[in-house]
Amino acid sequence: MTIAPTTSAPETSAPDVLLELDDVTISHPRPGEEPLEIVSGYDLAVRGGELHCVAGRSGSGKTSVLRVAAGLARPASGTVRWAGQALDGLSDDKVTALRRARVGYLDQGGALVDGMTALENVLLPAVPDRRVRALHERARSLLDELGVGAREGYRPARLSGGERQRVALARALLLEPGTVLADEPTASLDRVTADEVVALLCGLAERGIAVLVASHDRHLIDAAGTTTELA
Amino acid sequence: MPVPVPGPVARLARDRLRVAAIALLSVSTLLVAGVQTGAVHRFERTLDAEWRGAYDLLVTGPIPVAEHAPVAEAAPGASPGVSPGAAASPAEAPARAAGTVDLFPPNTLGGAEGLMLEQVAAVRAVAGVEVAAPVGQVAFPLLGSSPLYFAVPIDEGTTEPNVQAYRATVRYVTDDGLGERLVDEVTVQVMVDDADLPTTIVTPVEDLPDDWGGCTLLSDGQGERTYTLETAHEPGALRCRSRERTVAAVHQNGGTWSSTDVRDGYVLFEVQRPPQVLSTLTLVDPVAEAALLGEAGAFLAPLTALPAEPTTLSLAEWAATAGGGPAEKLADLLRKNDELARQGFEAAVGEGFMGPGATYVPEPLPVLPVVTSTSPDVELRVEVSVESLGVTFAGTDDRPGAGSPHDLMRPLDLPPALDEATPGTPLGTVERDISSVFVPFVEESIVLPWPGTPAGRDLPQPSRWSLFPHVFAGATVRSPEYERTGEAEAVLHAGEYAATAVEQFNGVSGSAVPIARDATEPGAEAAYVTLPERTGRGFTVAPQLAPVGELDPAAVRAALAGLADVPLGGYDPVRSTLVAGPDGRAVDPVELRPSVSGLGLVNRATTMVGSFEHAAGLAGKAPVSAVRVRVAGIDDYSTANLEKVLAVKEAIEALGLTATLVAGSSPSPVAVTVEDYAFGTLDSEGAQHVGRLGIVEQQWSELGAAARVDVAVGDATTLTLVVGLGATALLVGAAQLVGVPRRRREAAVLALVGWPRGRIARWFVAEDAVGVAVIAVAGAVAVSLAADRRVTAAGVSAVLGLVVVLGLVSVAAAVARPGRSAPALAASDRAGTNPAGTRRRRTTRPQALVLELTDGTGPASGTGTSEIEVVSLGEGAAPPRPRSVPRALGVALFGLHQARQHRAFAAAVLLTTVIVGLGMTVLGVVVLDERERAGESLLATALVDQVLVLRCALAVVALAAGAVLAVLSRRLDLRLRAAQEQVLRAMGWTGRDRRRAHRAEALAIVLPSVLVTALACRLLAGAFRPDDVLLLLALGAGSALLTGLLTLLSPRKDLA
Repeated sequence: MTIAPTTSAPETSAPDVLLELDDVTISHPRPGEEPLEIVSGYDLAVRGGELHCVAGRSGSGKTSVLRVAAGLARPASGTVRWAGQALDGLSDDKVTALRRARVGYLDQGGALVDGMTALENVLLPAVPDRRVRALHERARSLLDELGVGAREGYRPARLSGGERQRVALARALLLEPGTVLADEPTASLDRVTADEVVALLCGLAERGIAVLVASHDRHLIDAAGTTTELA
Repeated sequence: MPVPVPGPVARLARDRLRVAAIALLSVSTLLVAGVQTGAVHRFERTLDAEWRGAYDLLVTGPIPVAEHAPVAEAAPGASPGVSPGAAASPAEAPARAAGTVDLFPPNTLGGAEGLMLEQVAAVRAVAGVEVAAPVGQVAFPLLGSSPLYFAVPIDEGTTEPNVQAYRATVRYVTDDGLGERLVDEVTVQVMVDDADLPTTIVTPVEDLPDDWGGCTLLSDGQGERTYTLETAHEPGALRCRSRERTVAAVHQNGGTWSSTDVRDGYVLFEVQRPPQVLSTLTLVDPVAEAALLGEAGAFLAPLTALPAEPTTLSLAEWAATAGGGPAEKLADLLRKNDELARQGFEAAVGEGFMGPGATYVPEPLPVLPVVTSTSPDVELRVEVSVESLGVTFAGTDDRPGAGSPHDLMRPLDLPPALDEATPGTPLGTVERDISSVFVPFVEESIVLPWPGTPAGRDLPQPSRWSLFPHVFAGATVRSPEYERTGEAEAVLHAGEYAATAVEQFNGVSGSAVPIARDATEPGAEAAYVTLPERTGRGFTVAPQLAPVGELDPAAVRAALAGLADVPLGGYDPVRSTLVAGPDGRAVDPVELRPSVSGLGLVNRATTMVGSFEHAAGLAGKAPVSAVRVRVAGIDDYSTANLEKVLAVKEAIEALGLTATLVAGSSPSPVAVTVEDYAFGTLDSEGAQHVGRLGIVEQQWSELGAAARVDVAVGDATTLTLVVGLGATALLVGAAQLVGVPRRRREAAVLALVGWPRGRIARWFVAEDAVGVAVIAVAGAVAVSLAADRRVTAAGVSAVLGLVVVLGLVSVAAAVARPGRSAPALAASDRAGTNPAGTRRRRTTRPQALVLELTDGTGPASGTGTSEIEVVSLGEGAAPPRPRSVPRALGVALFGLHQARQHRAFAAAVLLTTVIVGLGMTVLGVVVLDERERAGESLLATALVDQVLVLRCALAVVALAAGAVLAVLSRRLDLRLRAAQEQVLRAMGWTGRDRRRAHRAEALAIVLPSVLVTALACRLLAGAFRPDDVLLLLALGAGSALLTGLLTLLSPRKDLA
């Protein structure tokens, strides 16, 4: 296997594009069958302040696109760039460190670490860089801002679904990423709570953050500036 | 088509951890039982083959050879399930109760009183006796063995008498293992006439006085050179016709001996007899002895073929017909000896001592046939320093006719002017190893060159009158009397101090032995062996020792060597190794060497073996020290066979003798403190130091060693089985603990769909029942294969019971409150259903985790305060706001936090490490205890070492089982945490970060686990093996640490 050197990866020509998928093909191997192709030759560019939604039915591959965009999985071909930085050839640890600095990821259901309080969960991204103390107040501010400040001492088991999503969103925003990726952020929420989350995501885009969401929630699709529909 | 619901087998098969645990327990059960079976079978095979030495009973006089009886455990059937132990007679019960290990010293086969040959016959008549082989030992000096000669070259240019005086200092030096020491030193004045003159002085009859020598001088009419003498009492008898010229004289302490021996251009003279030491002759019944020794006794064949009272003539006949190396060698020696006698006779005839025409007829002289060793075991060296004192006589020989015959020596008399203080001119020193003086039969004499003799010249051999040494007197031998001071300790005191000169043996003393010397006198040796009875005074004609065969004591010993070795008597030289000095401090081991006197700490090896029949005149009235009895019909180690031996033992004791059960004996080391040792010196003017030598290690015979090791190994095997099975069962229990959270979640789901708690419990119990059934099958197989089915069945049953109990506990823990673990219902629902305004008071966990400093202003590490937190839930309640907030959170403390969060897993690791560590410690206790209880005998060491391999295999099985289960538990736990790992990764935690967290978690779990294990091991070791605490602690804690590290630091792909 040959890994292309980092420097060989082409840089994007548009400086305000914070997330770019260039000719990306995603496929899943299946035992005894041809690989299942999710997307092929897919191009996507999300600029700062833009909310883009990858829509589609359940199982259409929305999460796969988002995981590739987040550097959590590698595409079969094509290039993923964050603020012009291609991920090709980078080790997983380097991609992870880069993600910590530039990308906030909000997974489906707002997964939190059991046994840790909401505040501690929010501070987790700061741990590897030893910036917990420095970001402590910001974490609390984010929780307050997202309406769950009163729950900062609660453990995940005692939080509602919406609260968990908000805590997870606060965690994703802690390091002030330029890009936020959210996987089905409203899937398990009631309509009112889901709309609050949609509003939050729109608010992020308005603050200049590039937001890429995967969802089949019509409210969220409508709120997005651009949409990719997966068959 | 019905929807398939997985049955208990399928459900169990999906639980990989549980399947692995059951498989491991099944395999472990089989392995443990297999190891136990292997150990028992191997042990029994070895014991059957090795438990019995050359004989079963040692019969001695009224006082037993050993004061203590076999060990207490040596009762038949005392060894549960392995094989029966030995037994002791009721009379020996008190000693058994004392628990003293019964040992008897090497070469100690005699009681205080010897046995008569009639008593030996009575023993042989006892039913069941297959062989009764008596043994005894006598000591005697060898007379006629090789003297020490000097050869002075003749000065061919000197034709007139030329007598020169010398002073010779003769030192005999040996090495007792501690270094060289002086045996003896003498200073002599030597007068040597090295003139090239005829050896015979012819004296004209007219020059001799009429009363010369009390004889009447007659002329034989054959010329002036020949004369005859006739005594007044025997007119006409030829007595002599010439005189040999005296060429050397040795003066010592007022005494003088001279030499007229000139041959091959040398003056030969004897300087000083080397130390004449006691030789030992082991007496046996050669037929019985050969039966006792088997193939190793082939060397005794010549003794059985000779008549009761052999003579030189009958011996010659036997040698001529027997054939074989020793017989041919003997025939040659006899021919040479006869030739010497013939030459002596003819010389006498020639000298006129015999009548004219007398012819030589060989006489039937009595002989004592022996098989003999040709290898000396004592080192002896001679140093002769010679000083010249000048020429004392030169010129015309005026001796003939000068007066009495004694005038013939006058020029060689010691000049009055020469005394010990007369200064001389050093000529040089001659050194030579003369250890061959300890060999009874040597054809060549020891001849030393006079200092200054040109090298390369062959030295002449003096003439000898016989090649066979004569035995004039002997003494019975009593072995050292040890004082037992501990289980494997003894003290030995010297009775007297031995000289080495044969003259002292011949002298009269109370003990009839040469042991009355001043201990501080250089050369004196501490005598630990005593010679209680002098024998051989009744000889009419002193017999000559005749070598009829060859003995190699080492080969005999090697042929009979085994784990259950018993002393044979004369074949066993005592080896003594100095291991500690007088102050008790350890020293580099020194192998002590036999003493020159033969009475010292290290016996001289037997150089001769003869028969009681041939040595009747030398052996005394009660010549038998002991009778070694082998019982008929004995093969393996069993109760029935031991009962046969005991029956013979009782029958012999009914004869008034002492019978000691030695079947199953084995050599065992004993530390002997040797007192009263005469430390040697090389200074002839100095004084020897006498005091404690230190501690020497000797191999004694431990009675009942087989029974002792049998019981010890049997008990240890049973304990090992219990420990192995128990530890494995507990490990399975620990694995079940890890599965409790998963079952709780399953139970929660089942409860949600309406299953009652009892039905859920049955659901889980059915899964466990499958596992129990599998283990039961494995256990049944193990029991069927086991050597001891009763013990194995009990162990397997206990394991099954433990597994069932632990399974029920696991099920109970899972179904106790199934609703608690329903994740989908947890937070919001509970929060929503909580009555508004309700307050719950609870004790908080630490509020903050302080991990790493980023600006150096905060505390280094620690946890926040524990406070009572008031939690308000529900609408209108004030939101809980922690008073203290997280100030720092690091990767490492995140790991620590995880350890706390996943308590079930941490508890499983803790249990696993404790079980493995304690299991190994218990195994160590069992092994050490087994070794201690088995004793230090050769048999015990070999057998315990043999089963130790299997014990180690069992330990490896237990350790591996623990490690595998722990690793599987870890894998399962990590799989349950996969989602969390993904979250951490998504938020930017690199693999390195997560590995660090896992390491921290590992340390947080392993370190306390190891510490707890170490504490438990320490307590266990302190309770059972206080002297081995460190070893057991290292074993237990090391095993626990290894298990923990394997568990928590095993590679994890998900962290890559």
